Amino acid sequence: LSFLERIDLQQRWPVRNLRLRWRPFSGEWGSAHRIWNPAAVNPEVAQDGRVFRLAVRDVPAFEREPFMPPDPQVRPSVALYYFAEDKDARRYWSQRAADEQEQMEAFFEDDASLRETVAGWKLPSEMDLQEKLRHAFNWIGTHLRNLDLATSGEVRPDLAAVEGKERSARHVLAEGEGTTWELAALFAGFAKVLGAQAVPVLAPDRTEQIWDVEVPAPFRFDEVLAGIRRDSKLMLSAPGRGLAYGEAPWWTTGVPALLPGGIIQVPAPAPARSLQEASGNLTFPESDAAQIQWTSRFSGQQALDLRQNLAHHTGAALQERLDALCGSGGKGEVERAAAEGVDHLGEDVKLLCTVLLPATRTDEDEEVGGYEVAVIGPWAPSPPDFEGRTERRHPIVFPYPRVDTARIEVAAPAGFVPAPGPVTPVVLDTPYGRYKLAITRTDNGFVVERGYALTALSVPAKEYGAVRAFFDGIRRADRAKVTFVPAEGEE
Amino acid sequence: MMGAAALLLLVPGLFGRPTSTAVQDLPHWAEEIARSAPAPAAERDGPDARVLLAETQVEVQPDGSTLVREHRAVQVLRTPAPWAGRHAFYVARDFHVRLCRAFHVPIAPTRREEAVTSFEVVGDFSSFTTDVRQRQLGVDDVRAGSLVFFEFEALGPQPTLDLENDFGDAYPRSLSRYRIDLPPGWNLRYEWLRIAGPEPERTERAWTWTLRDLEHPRPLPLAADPDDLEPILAVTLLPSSRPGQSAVLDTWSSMGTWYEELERGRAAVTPAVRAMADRACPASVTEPWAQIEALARYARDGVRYIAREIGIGALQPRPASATAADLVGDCKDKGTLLRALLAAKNIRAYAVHVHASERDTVPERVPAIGAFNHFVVAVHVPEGATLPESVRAATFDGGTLGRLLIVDVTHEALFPGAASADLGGKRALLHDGAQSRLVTLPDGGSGAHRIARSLEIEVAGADATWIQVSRFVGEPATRRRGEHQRDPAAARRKVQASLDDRWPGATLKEYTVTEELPDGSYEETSSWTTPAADVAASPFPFLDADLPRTSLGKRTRPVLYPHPLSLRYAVRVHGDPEPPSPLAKEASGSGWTVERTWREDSGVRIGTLDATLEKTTFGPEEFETLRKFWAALAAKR
Repeated sequence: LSFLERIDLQQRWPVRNLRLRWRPFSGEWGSAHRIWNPAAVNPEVAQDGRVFRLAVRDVPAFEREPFMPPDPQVRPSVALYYFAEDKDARRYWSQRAADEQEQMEAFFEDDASLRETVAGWKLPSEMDLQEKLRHAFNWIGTHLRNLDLATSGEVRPDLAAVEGKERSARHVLAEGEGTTWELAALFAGFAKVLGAQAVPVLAPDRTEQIWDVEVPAPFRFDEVLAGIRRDSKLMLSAPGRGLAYGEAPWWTTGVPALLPGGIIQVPAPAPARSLQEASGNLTFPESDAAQIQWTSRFSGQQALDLRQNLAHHTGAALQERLDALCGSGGKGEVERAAAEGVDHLGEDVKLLCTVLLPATRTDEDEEVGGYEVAVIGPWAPSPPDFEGRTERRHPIVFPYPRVDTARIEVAAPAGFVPAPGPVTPVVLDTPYGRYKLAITRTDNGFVVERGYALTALSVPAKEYGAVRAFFDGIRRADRAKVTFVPAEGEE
Repeated sequence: MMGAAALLLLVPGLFGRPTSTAVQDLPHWAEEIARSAPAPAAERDGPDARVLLAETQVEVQPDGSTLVREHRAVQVLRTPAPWAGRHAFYVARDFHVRLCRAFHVPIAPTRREEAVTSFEVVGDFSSFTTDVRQRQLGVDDVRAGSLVFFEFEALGPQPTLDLENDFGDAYPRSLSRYRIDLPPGWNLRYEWLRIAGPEPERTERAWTWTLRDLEHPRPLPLAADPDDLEPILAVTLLPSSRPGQSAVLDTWSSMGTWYEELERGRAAVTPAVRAMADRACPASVTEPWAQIEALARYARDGVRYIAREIGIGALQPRPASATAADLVGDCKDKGTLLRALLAAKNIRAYAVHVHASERDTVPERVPAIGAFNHFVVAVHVPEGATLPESVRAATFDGGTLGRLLIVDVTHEALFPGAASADLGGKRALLHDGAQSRLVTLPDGGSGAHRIARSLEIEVAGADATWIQVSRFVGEPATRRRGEHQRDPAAARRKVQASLDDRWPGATLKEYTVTEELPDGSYEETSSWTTPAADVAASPFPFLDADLPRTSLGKRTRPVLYPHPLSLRYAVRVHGDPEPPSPLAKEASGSGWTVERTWREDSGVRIGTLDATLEKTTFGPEEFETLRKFWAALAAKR
């Protein structure tokens, strides 16, 4: 048993009887237990001196669902843990936060290279402190490489290893690269030089685990954010993640995080901060194939997701991922797939795709009829997939609110014109998000404009039907096609 | 199968010993590599590490035992690379490990204390009850530029004088070397599998094969498994005189004789076996196929699969009477029981060894027991047996043994005698004593693997009701039956998901499944409703799922379908005031045919689509015909 052992009380299969008996180590450590989500299993608990007993009977299988909360948040389980000295959780976490702060300060303290770097920026003395901090934050994004997100194959020397010393801010600046934690600590160091106080904010990845503040036992926080205190507010940032100043990675949002002196809830990002904008042209360079070229610009959390997707891949593996993003698994043939800005954290990320679409003649004998082509594809992300589930047990939790837009100009094949007839726009407006698809006929083709905003972060299970209906509506609309008919005199 | 978590930790040792090693302190073979290792930056592209040397030396002793030495040098290419500092050496049964150690040469002197962990586990990742051991070595804190050296030496007996070396690796290999040292007067025969490998370098007693710059192929959709592409060298040792403890298997016939001795009497019809045969197949059942099917079902469903590979038990089946008594066994136990049950009904059956997972493992001229990992049974099909059509397609000519049918009673979702994509087309050893020989197991052709869907669409006002009966035969049936057996709710969700994809908002109303019909097919009936307008756009709606495709534009490796396939769709549209007017079409190419018909009968539109795919491998030069096949299938109006 480690310091904390979590034991699931509900398994992937039904359980008739589960009995647990725990006799803790009798050394100088204290021991305790905590039961999470007991309602579904009604555990019987008994404490007999040092021995802890728990029993559950006739427990149904635990079923995982797409977009469910992290497993520990919904699955019945018991945590058995040891604690040192006393079991006061507040004191325990307070000490944990103080230790982190000490470690971070050790990383940049007495480091002349920080002061030299800041001096090199030649910031006007009258510049607002927040602007100076924003400058420092952006400088990290544009000048340093985050090793946790890198796709470059370049190897740089490990200076700390050469010197036989612990890594510090100086090494990160000299090497031009560092881990996410090191970049956060570096930013804290810059903040101190600039006259602000930065504190480490420790956050769990909410897709994987929950942090229970009532359990004073070691816990692996997944992310460290830099918190800048200003008046009574705390500005959270994630240096080296490619997000804007003042934003935190989506997997840390909506749940509590730890900092020296307290606990805060990391705010969810606004939908418009996480944008994907696609624009492109669909043409018919050959009689039996259409070609679409588009560029998608990713910003905010969407850029972060894309960087994470491509991180640590180079060569053929990277190209495979890019091809997949351009739709290589579908019916089209990806001719070109490339990304720009992945390693430059100060920029948005661009995905550039050229894809040949399959034959689209509406009449295979090619004597009459015309062309028909689907106008929604990988350039417009699909709504969430619930894998065929018609019922729901757990709440739905989306990664983050987002906005996707796409504008595609479809040019008529030579000798053809847009088919006549009205093209009715589709508009869906729900508490969970909005969608609009407008197809406008032009002299030489169509302009397709699609907008999709997911505004909800979490939805109760009882509203699953309504959420699913919203996404079904989008899928139906996304099957839209445009048709071209022979121009007069061309038949 | 089992997970790593079930492995038993046996011998912990060497935890925490600082091992950062200076180059001059390395073993001789490693020192040379450490001094000449190329800079990692120039080569870094993709993988976490590169194997600079993977070398195995086998020193054959006069008594047939072998002293095996392995050297492995790994260069770490990126940080972090959590697996690059780890390696497992498999320790054959009865082998004594004489040396097992690792060295870490970091790119620069470091204050950190790296530690080597070394421990031994019993088990591998395919069976629980086994005495195969692994010696695991792990070096902590490797970083880009680190060199890690592993060294291993073990001595042990060799029950059969055949050797195999798999040149596959998780990382690219710069240099791979395999060397065999023979006692005086001995010789050997070798054969490369999967590649046209090099000739060996020879000295008086040593044979050395060298391969350079091996890359681990990346997985691709509709492609050979990367494991199936890794080179194998098979070797059979030819002693000057037979050593006492090792069997000499210089021909497949001799392997057959050896196995015959090994399993002698184990398929005997004891009273207990006869009683079991009579329970599974009463005397009233006299039709041969009915007998075969009943007994095979009994062995498949009534005996729980548990691999027990201890000592010679890894190769030798347990007596059928023992398996019949405790109803537990692995593939060879279950197969041997089936042979005994069939014998009780006077039906001949033969043992067959095959590789269940990988392809191209069987050398033609160099017998190797390691070429196989599975046991199935070839059942003689008596004259007059009334086999179902799909099973008949999977029979093959066994020469003097007559018409044979492969029955695999280990695979719980496989209908007795049905063609299996896991086995079809593979070389296998058909045991018949001294007449044992290699045969190619039948894939059954497109007649053995079929998907037939019958769709009735009733249009009434703005809605259309769809009722579909789908029948799957052969591998499509095996796959779906397995999914349904494991999780019926998930199987239903999969159908609903396909509706969500095609007709968002359509809800599955009826969904019934018959897992195994008398002819071995799997039947699924489903119904749903859509807007009537959706009818015209979807004449053959499940084609894409039944016949997957992939992108061909940049592809350089062949497209590989797992088995031949026959598709037959029949659609009847009732009451559609504006029925679609699809065109008939007939097309064919190398290894495929497509025929589509549409007609009207009393206001009902009737469409059919028949397609066959006999050819399963399409090289890049054949992609054009594959494109034509896919285009011909495209459902157009």
